[in-house]
Amino acid sequence: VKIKHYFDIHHSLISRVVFWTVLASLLVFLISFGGAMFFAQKNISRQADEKVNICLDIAVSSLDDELKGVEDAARKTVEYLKFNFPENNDEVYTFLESLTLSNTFVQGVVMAFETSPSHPDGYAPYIMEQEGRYILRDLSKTQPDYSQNPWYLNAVKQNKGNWNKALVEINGTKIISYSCPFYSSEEEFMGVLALDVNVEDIREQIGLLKPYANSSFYVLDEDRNILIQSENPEMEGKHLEDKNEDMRLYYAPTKYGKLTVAVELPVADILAPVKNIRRSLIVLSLLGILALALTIVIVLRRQMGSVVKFTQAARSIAAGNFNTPIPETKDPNELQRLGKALDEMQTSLRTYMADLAATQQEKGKIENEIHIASGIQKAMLPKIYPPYPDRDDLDIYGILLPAREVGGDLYDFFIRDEKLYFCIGDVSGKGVPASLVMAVTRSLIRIVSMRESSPGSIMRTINDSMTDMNETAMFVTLFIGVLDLASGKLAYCNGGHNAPLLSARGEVRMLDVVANLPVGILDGKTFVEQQTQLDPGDMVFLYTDGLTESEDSAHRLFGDDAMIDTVKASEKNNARRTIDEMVAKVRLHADGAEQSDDLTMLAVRYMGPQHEQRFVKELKLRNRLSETASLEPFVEELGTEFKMEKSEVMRLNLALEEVVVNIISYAYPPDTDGEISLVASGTDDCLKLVISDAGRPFDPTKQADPDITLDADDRQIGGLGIYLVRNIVDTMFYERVDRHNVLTLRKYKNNAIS
Amino acid sequence: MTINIKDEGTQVVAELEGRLDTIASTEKAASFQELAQMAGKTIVFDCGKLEYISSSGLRLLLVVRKAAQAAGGQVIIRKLSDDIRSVFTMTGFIDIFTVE
Repeated sequence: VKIKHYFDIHHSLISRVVFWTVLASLLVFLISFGGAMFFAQKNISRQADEKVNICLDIAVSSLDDELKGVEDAARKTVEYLKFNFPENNDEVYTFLESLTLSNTFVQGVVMAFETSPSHPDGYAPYIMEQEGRYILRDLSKTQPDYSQNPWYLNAVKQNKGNWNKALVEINGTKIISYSCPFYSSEEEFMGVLALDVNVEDIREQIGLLKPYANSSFYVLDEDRNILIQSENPEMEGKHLEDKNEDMRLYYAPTKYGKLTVAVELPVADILAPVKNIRRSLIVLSLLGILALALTIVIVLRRQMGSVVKFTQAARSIAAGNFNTPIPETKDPNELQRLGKALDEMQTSLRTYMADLAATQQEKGKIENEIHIASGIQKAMLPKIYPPYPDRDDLDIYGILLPAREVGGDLYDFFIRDEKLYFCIGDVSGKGVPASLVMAVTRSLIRIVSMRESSPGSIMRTINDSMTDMNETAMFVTLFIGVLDLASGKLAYCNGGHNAPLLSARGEVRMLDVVANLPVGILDGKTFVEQQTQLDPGDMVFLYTDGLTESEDSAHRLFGDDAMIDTVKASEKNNARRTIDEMVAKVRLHADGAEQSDDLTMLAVRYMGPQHEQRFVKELKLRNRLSETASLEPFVEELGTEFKMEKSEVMRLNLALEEVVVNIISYAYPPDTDGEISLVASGTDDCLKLVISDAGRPFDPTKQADPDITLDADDRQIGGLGIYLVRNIVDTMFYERVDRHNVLTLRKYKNNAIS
Repeated sequence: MTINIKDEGTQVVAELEGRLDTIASTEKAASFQELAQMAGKTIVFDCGKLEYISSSGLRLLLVVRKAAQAAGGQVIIRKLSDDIRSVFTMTGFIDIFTVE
């Protein structure tokens, strides 16, 4: 992975740098190359023009020298003839021969006489050089109409020397001629003297005109007909067209002979040097760019080595190795700075982590302390249920489910002088501060209740102490009740707390309370105390707003009605079952929503005054159905002792039988031997039955009631037993004590509950 | 506990006498099965001498009642004492049977 990562970094960064650098270099190169080429071409081209033109000038002027010589010779000859006209033919020939010899460029001379009486058919002696020899002949013999030829006519017509167009001799020689009229000494027109110049001599004269290896020259007549093509004689005789883009033509007209010399040159030849330069330039530049790219790759790769090392170090640090050494680098400033930054980061991370660890430790300490505080707070709450197992006059159960580890709710109860002191409270605020106030409040209640027995006085004393020391403006809503267990008289005082519920004889209502102020607000305040009478079976249900204001995820409150309904439905349940039902209902309502406030409940059911125990009877059974037969005499006995009516005896018999059959059927596995113990004890008002067995845990009170409204068809066969028990006795509660199932049934005289 | 079954042609009268508790229910289950098989006829339980009934006893009655319902017959309960009646009331059985 590391290697791959290394290559990734390289690949991306180096290739990008190389790419852009090469691109930029190429661009620069292209622009300068283009410019250089443009100017070089222009320059070379101009130089070529100059060179060719110079060569042409030289060629043309050397040609002109010769042609001027021809012209001069002709003119001098005509002048000469005026004074020294040859006497006879021989002299004419000699004269012509000497004239031919006098000028190397003159290949032949013709002296064409105008027809005259002495030469009626014309006379045109013509001498010409042919292969080193001079041949003499009379042109009038071969060309009787010579006087009609252009060379002749032109000279006559213009009456001066004149260059004529090229023509081809009989022997195939191509010539151009200069013809001029000659006169007698009497200025009488005698004829035309024509000097021939062999085109081949011209070719020879300027044959060195070759400024470029591939250049050629032309000699053109005045109509651009090609007389000479140095490289390509087939073109001779044709007309020269301006045609080829690849070729460049330079022209230079001669002063003599009506000729034009042209040099034709392939453009490629002119630009050949540029081409060579271009090739080497491209090769060199590409090599340069390649070298540049290589340098970048090498340099970057070396630098990248540091970066990769830094990356690895950073990762290692990120993984928690704060002592990872930061790699040294001899690379340029930037990387050194990066290294330094990494180093600084590491240092501050180390410091930060140390701080964090300290903070965490501190936090852990605080958490631990809060945990301990939570334990202390829990220890302040009654936690052993049933709290007074020997008392038959009281069924009491309370819970506090804190929203956080510590909270501000409290409840408490204790018995002093046959009076039950009980309270529930809710400290404003939450968390540790609230929990401290809760502890103070609970302690104050305990202390004050030791010498005060009126809830109003207790409340006032607590209020005064708390207002005194309360500088944090925290207060407590508090309900204190004092129940006289002998008479059922309940004195209570409400300090701004929610009105408790009173469940009496099938009715559930809010206890009538004067609101009063919460405790801890106003010093010296008196609290109104109220009184009510509880009958046996009546229940007071106390709670904090954590119950009624318990929210579901949509922030809907649990509410008073749901609470009242639940208490009402629990009319026949004991205090614990009532609260368990309530918790179940609240959980159902909350549907997973987080509990936001402490949830505290206390249920106090008054069972009537406790009377002296009048009898205790015991029955032990084996776990066999046949044993149930002994239940009937046992119950008969109890009926007599407790002065029960016959129908009541029958029902009690039924209840006990159902309980025992249940234990035999469910608590003990089949074919195991077990014992079932029944202990009945009675006071004047209450018959208590404790049925215990050593079978597996089995709580009959958890069994769901059958639906007794169904048709016969839909009714389940079974499940009726416990339902009957629940209907017959007044209270029923189950405990698992010392590996025993202990079920306690109470039946009050005059059927106090049902 | 005794159960005295008399087939009177159109109806069968079962006289229950004594305590129909759990033990008795186990012992007399066969008799109730017999009754359940005659469920096509009207079955009359004479409870005049019935002193006691437990949930097992109620269960036996329910078995017969179910069989009768399946066979299209009916079950009549007669001469319920107040005590037994209270048990019938508690369990809702009073609504399942025809009580005379």
